[in-house]
Amino acid sequence: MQLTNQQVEALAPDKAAVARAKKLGEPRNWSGLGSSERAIWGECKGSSTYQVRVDLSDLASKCSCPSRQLPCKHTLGLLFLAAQRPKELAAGAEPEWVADWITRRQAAAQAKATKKAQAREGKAPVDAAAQAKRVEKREEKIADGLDQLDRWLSDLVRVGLASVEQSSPGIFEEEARRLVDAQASGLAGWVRRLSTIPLSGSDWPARLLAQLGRIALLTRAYRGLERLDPALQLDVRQQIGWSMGQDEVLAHGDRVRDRWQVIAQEVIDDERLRTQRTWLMGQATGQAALILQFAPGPKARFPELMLLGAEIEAELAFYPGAARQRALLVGREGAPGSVGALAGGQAIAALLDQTSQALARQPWIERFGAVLAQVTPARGDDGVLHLIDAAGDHLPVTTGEPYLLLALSGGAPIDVGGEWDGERFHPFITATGGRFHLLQPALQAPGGDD
Amino acid sequence: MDPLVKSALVGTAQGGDAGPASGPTDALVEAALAGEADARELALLLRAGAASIYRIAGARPGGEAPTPLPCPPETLRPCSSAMTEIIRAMLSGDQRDLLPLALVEMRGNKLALPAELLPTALACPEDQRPFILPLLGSRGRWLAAHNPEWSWALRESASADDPPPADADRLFEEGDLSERRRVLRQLRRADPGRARALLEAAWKSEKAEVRRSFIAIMAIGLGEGDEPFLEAALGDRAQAVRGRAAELLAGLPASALCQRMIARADAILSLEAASVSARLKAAVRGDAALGKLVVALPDEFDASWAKDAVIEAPPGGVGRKAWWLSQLLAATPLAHWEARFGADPAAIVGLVRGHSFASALVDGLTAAALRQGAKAWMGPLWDLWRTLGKGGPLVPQPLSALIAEMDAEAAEARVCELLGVGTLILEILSALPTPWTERVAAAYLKGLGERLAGLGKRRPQSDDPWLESLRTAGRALPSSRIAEALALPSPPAPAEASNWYLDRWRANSRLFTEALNLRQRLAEEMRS
Repeated sequence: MQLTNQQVEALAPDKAAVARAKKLGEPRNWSGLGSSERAIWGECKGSSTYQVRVDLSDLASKCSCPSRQLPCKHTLGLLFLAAQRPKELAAGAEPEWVADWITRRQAAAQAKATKKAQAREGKAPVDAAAQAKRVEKREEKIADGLDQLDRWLSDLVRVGLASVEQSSPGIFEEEARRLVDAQASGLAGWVRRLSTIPLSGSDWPARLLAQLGRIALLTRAYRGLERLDPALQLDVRQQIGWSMGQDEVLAHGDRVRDRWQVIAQEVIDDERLRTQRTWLMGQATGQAALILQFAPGPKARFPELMLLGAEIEAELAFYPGAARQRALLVGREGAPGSVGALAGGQAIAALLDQTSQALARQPWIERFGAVLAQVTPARGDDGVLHLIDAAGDHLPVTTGEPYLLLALSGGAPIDVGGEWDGERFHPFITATGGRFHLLQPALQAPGGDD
Repeated sequence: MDPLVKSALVGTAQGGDAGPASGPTDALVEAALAGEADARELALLLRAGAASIYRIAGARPGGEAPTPLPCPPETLRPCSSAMTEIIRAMLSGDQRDLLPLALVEMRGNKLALPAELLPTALACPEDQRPFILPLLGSRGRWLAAHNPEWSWALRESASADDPPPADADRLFEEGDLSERRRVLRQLRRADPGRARALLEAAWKSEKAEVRRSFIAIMAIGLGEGDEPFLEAALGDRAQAVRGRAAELLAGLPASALCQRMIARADAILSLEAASVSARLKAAVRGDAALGKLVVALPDEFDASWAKDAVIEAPPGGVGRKAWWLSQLLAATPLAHWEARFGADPAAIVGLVRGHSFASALVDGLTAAALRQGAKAWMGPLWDLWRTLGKGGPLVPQPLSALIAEMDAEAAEARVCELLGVGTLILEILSALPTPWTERVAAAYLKGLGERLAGLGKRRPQSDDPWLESLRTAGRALPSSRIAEALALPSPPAPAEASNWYLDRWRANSRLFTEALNLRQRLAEEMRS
């Protein structure tokens, strides 16, 4: 896999770490550099010598330095070196300290998987009666919570949304807390996210009303759950907060094996919870999959490393339901590669058709990962950037880097990967000349600038 | 505004009403809410929710598509991806000192900036624009047309070296200051008279700082035809314009100003022939004895001097008479002294050495040499300044100013001689054109090697010029000497726990090696 500077920067905890690591990314700080199919390694000379090794399958790393930061500056230094001067890491036999570590990692992963499988099989018999009681109790709480939510929604509309200008974000926080108490965590998260809407652009009342309306539809749907299609029932239950266990997804979800390209990724930092939304596009299947990952607190790392622009050979399990968007990473195979050309590209009309079909199956879907094939960026009279396809259809674009998209296209058609939210396309990646380019500002320093 | 949004915004309690049912979902909504509390509010919400889903599901790419601007094909060569990463790092601030060098080399190799770096490059600080401009290629200029803030890339795509454009007159009348200056420069090169005529026509209506900036451009293609204009400018309201006009006139030996200055200088400076015994003594020593310079300054400032931009009040720390003397000398053609004293520049400068007015004399003569481009004077003057230490009020940094203007050969000889005895004067080194010649580079590296070898035993020195020179050397050494420079020993590790002097040497030396390494990589990438 050919790493890029941008990708390595995304791994760093902050900009200062990037600067420190880049200094270490000079070959003269290193000895014994090398690479194999599955790893890269080197010894970093400082006040003492540290052995650094990186497992290419998931960029997991180990360094013999005492730093508790992950990845440490030596690891980042080695990654920068690999990104900038791959020739310095000649292919060779893994030294013992590298081979041992990788082998141990693989063995540990295997043992964990076996243990999990055994645990699943040999699970202590569930006390069915006790569980049914718990479920019943939660259903009651949720029902009360939904009634209360309906009253809250009605009050907002009765008093008028204009009042939210003053009361946001407090009222959303407060309502979200009540929903957490009512064990409807899905709804709670949704209500909390609403606080970003008021005063964000002149059309915020329309956007807020649309969201409130969809929430109202969801509470209705849940009350009449038994009247819905069984697949849709699963989606509605999840959106309310009945999360589906990974075991359940693995047991019942559709499995799809493919070479997946990471085409869009966004991290939302909350005080308590970091959420990462990653869109994968299957090279053979042309299927988009959404991987959600969570981590506690602002700087925490996500369990699976997925870099924008990477290609991973993996099996996914789609969450059972009508939407067939969200998926779970079952297992990866081999070292990841880099996107050279985007897969799964489609025309704008095809994306819009696909969107309406998906909404017909599951009306609460908000975003669609997609690759637009051969679109040309151009500025409209309103100053907004549009992507125009071969048929002359076009979509408006929201991006922090409109000129980067223009520059890379040079007024000619390119493939663009990103997210469609029903109103705007959010571009994240393009590929030209056999390599990919990220269309987002390079480093979103989670700890802020220092 | 959508009636649903309007009602929700004012609130149903304030009379906001969704209006009559109109959508396909209305019947469903009514059925669902029959008999419920808050039915009116919930109905509004459900209808709004359904409408938003309908909108997304039914989205069509409507309206006229904007027309993309076509981009002409690229004529420059593309960069390798490794090169792209190096330039990206430099544009974001790593090794910023080396950026101009890298960009100049890219230009030499006819490389275009990679498309992905164009937005950053077009937003560069103003002083980088001349380096960025030739690398933009057709893609870069095409992109610049999309953002009014980048219009400089389209405007300044002509350089001052190009022939003047066909509509030069119009551009000079209508352009902004930088454009007008550029056109004026181009015109001065091609047709000085026409440029002067344009300037004369606009002169009266220009602001003082504009007049000053324009009159400086008159130095290009300066000729006798310019005298009347410059003579008139001696009466300008602005001191800076008057001074500049006088400087330019001093560069025209036949000008009336020069003649006036010669008359004044002759009255002040004369040569007292050497006595018979002095001449004999000198003959025994083997030199020609010219005699002694006699300075006879009037006690009062002559009002006519002011008309020729001589300033009466001296700057702080300078005597009045000395100040007048140096200004008068600065405006007098140096050839006059050679003819009058019948001696070469070296001999005349020799008379100044040890004179009671030495500082004023050498300052005035140096200013004259620099203004008149009198190269034969520069070497002897530089040698004299070496013994004096600090500069004068007219030429505050004479050593570097003279080195920069001197014949390359003479400059090199002087720098190498200094380096040979381990003396390094930073301003002089910085004044040399880059990259340094082989000879200077060899002398520098030899001196640096000796300094590095003796470093462990040296007393810490607070402003060690060798230590400071590493930064300049990192970008000024010629490519052919990089390997040699990298092979120099590193500064030793301090014996005690900390030694600020050695620590600074180690830090600067690391930056030096990093810069050289980067240049080596750039050269490799440039070739590939």
